[in-house]
Amino acid sequence: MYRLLIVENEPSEAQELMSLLNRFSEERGVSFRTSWLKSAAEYLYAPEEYDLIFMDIDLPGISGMEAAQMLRVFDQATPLVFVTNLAQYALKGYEVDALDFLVKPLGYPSFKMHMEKALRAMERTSSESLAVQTRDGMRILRLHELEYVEVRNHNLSFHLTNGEKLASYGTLKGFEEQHPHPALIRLSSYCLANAQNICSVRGRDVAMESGAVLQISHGRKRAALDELASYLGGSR
Amino acid sequence: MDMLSDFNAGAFLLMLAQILVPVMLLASGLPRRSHFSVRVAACAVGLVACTLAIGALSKAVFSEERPLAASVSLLATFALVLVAFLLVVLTLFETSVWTAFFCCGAGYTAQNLASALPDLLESLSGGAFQQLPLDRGGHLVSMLSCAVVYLICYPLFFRKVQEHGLVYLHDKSTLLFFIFVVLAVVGYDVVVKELAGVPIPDHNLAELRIFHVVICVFALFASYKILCARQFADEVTATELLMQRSLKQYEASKETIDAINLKCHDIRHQIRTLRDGGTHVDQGALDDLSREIRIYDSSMQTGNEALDVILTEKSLLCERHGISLTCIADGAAFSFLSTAETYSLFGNALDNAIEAVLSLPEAEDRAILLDARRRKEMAVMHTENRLAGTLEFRDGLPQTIKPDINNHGFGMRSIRTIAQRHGGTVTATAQDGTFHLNVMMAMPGGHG
Repeated sequence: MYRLLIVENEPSEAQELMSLLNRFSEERGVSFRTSWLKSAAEYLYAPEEYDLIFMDIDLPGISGMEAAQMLRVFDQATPLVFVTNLAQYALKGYEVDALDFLVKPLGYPSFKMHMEKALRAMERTSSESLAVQTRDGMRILRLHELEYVEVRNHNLSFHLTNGEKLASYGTLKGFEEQHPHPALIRLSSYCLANAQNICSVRGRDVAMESGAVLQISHGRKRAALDELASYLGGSR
Repeated sequence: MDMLSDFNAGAFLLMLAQILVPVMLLASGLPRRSHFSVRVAACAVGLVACTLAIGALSKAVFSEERPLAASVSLLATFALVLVAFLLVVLTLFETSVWTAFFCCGAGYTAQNLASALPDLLESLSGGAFQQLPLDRGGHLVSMLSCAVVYLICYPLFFRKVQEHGLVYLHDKSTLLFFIFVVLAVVGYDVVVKELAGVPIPDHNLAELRIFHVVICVFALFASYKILCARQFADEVTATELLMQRSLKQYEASKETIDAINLKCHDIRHQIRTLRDGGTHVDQGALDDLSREIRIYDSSMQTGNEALDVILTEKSLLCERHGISLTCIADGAAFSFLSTAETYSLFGNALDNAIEAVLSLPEAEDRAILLDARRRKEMAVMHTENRLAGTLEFRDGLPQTIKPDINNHGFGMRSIRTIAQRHGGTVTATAQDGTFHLNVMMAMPGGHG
């Protein structure tokens, strides 16, 4: 069940979007709970948690872009999709980390393609906690806190973004099976990295946010790079 | 193993079989011709016929009193074998003579290596490892040696060639080089085999045999390198050609777009003046005009001039064909690419997408999504579009359905060349009837 928000001042436009969402929901077998607000101000005044926000760019008062900028100040995670009638306006969507945008009039097949992308993004941001059994007890982590995991002789070492290292017992394969998140990419037989914290990749060198440089093994090179490119491009 | 003086059809056929294995390993990736099984049968018959013919010929020609004629005829025999295999490959697969020659030459060399090893072992062990005569299990040793050598060569050579793919090889000069190498291997083999019957010091024979193994290995290594170099040169030429064409198109596009922008700006200004002026004007006509200016919407301003030009050009094209194109593009993220690279990368990606959606039966399905922005220190270009039917992938890149085999997927190869030039990677996948292209490149500067 995903919670969606439509920010749109024209009732007819909002209605159109909602009927498209209903059709998608039925065909795809996903359930949505859709709310509708007429202005961005209403949302910013009392922001609630949503899995996806559809924001009309052309709003009276605070424009969609401005609202997005304000939203991003306190919420960098919620996926945002602009709705506009001029493609130009949304070109700079990356500035507010917008996921995508829809151009009116909306045809269903095109809408479907964009919704699939949105669905992938929503699936990524949910299911994001890891439970690690350490010697000192169970530790719950948010996925984005994890940088990479190394293993040696069944001793797992979790490297966190804050510099902490957690020790646990198990195999990388076991960990992967427990947490099949597209952001977790296997670099070699003894290393697994979180794509959310990968800064850059050059050849087989993977530079992490913390400054650590990990190596992709020869055998994993093609697969790891493909998975990373797919993840960053939003295909996974 | 004095081949011709004591011609043994069985032994000869065994040798042919030993050559057949590596040749087929190399040629297996090539497109098969029609009625494949019939052709296989024909080749089998042909090879047996060849054996019998050579047997008959050797009895007629060979004479102990004329040793030079003997070695020439030996050389001729081996050359004939090579030609026979060439014909086999050409009969079974759809390929050029040069590619077929590559397979046969490399296969022949591999077999040579395999047959040289027992000889070498015999020399090095000082006769302790005696080569059994053929009728007493000698052929078992020979087959075992082949199996061992081929197994070792598989990951080092055969698999690498298969991964590389045997594209049509055009360059005559490098292949001539290869011909000489193979003939040298053959010639050397003949010399060493003859000397085995002559009383020369054992250590000299051993040295010759060591050297034989060395040149066989070298020949295989060289052939692989030739393949790599050839394909690299091909790609570079293709990319350069595309780049040149791209630059010309870029200049033309830029002029057109500047002109359109200017015109649209004028018109927009006129509309505003008329509206504010209150003069009686047909509002309907103004509305029409406003709508026409949708073309202005195709004008993209990303902050990167080259990107602006290519996106605007493709956007106009999409508008004309009723394709819905949504772009999110951060021009600054791709500023490290040259003008030609930017134009080529985005141009080819969008061209492929446009071509794909145009073949979709439903007009509503024609939608392309382009998302090009930075993710931490990487520039990532992502395109998505609906697909009609399925795509075949070879070498990790999709095969186009273009009839022109020479332009076969050059756009994609150009994209990959550009990505690789910047230490990046290209990933193309088809999932649920949608084609995804992801190009990821590390932005220069920063750590790593």
